[in-house]
Amino acid sequence: MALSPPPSQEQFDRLLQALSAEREQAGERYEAIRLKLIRFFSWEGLRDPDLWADETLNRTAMKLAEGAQIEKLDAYLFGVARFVAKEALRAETRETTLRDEVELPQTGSHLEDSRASQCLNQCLNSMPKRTRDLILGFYQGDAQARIRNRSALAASLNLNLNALRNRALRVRQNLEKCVLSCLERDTSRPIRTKGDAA
Amino acid sequence: MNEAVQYLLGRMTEEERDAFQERFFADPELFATVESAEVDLLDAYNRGELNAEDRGAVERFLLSSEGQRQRLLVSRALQNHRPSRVWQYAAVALAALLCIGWFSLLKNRGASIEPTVAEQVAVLELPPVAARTSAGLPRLSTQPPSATRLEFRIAFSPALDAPGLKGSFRNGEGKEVASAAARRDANAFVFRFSRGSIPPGAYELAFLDASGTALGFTYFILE
Repeated sequence: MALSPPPSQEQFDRLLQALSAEREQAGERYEAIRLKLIRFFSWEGLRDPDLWADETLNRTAMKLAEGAQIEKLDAYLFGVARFVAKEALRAETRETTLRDEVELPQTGSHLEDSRASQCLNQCLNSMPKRTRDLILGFYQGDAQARIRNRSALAASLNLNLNALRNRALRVRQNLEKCVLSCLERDTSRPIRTKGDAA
Repeated sequence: MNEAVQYLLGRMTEEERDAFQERFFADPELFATVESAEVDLLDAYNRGELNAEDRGAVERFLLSSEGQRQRLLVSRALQNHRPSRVWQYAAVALAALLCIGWFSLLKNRGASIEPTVAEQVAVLELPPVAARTSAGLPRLSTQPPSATRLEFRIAFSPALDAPGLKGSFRNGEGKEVASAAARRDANAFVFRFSRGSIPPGAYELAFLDASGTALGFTYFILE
């Protein structure tokens, strides 16, 4: 599957302009849409969701540059995304069949787990206590404990379960973002172990 | 939520899938429901709560990309997280440091913990940080009983030697009763209050640095 060339600065500016007249707001909307697209391409089981999210945005930028009048940009973008997903799935299936191999998920090494755990602690400690209690209460424990915790949390915050779920999801997404960027920062830095010199 | 799980596990026909995609792109609330279901599936996968079929579907549909596998790492860290562990380690380390300081202080003072009486000030030696023992909380008595001021002292420890160190005295309900900046003398941190500011009762004393981060705690009952 041939990918679109990256948009020129002018094409990119036109896309931002279509998202919002205010540059800063346009940037924020661009990021939000891109994250939503990445999530969607992940759900579609694609190996490189970021690539397909960018492809969707590039195609839309080019369409705008051609002078197309797009009334509902979000709806248009998501329509393009669904086409891109179908094409990408076909391409990835063909590629997998040709290579005759399927990648299995990595379970994560002890070192990776240890890094993730350190980053999680850092990120949790940077949160206000109430937010930290919310996320730990909402997502930790076995199935029975979670049901009990969630009901108790909802009651204590005076929220219904749906509203609580949405709030917990936003906190979880921010936490994931924080941990992943911490992991990225730490990738090239070895973890100090007990035997290392200070 | 069920519909979202069916979608995420690849159990919809192509027509159902198309229709569902169209709906969640148009409805932010439904999109959030799918996101939430995804997080729950990843957590359940980590906890081993899924049957073999669902497990296979999660691997096939939700763990294809490196980014998703990283999210699984976060999920596992969150499941294994023990909130108090860091503080337990810190408290044990601080307690060890302060024990050393505490005993050297006693030694310097001729192994006496008797409060000195000066200008009707009751001097109360605080137990080391994290000194909550199975024998119960240490009891501090106000001597002389007629003291109008209370002076709390805790052995100097480098671990507590932060700029702007402050002591927050909290009652049994966790409510701050009084707080004061720490003064430093030769071998102790000192907090002074008028007698009425700290009524008798059980206390947690939190040592806070200038940013409000707790560096350690100690517990006692003021008689």
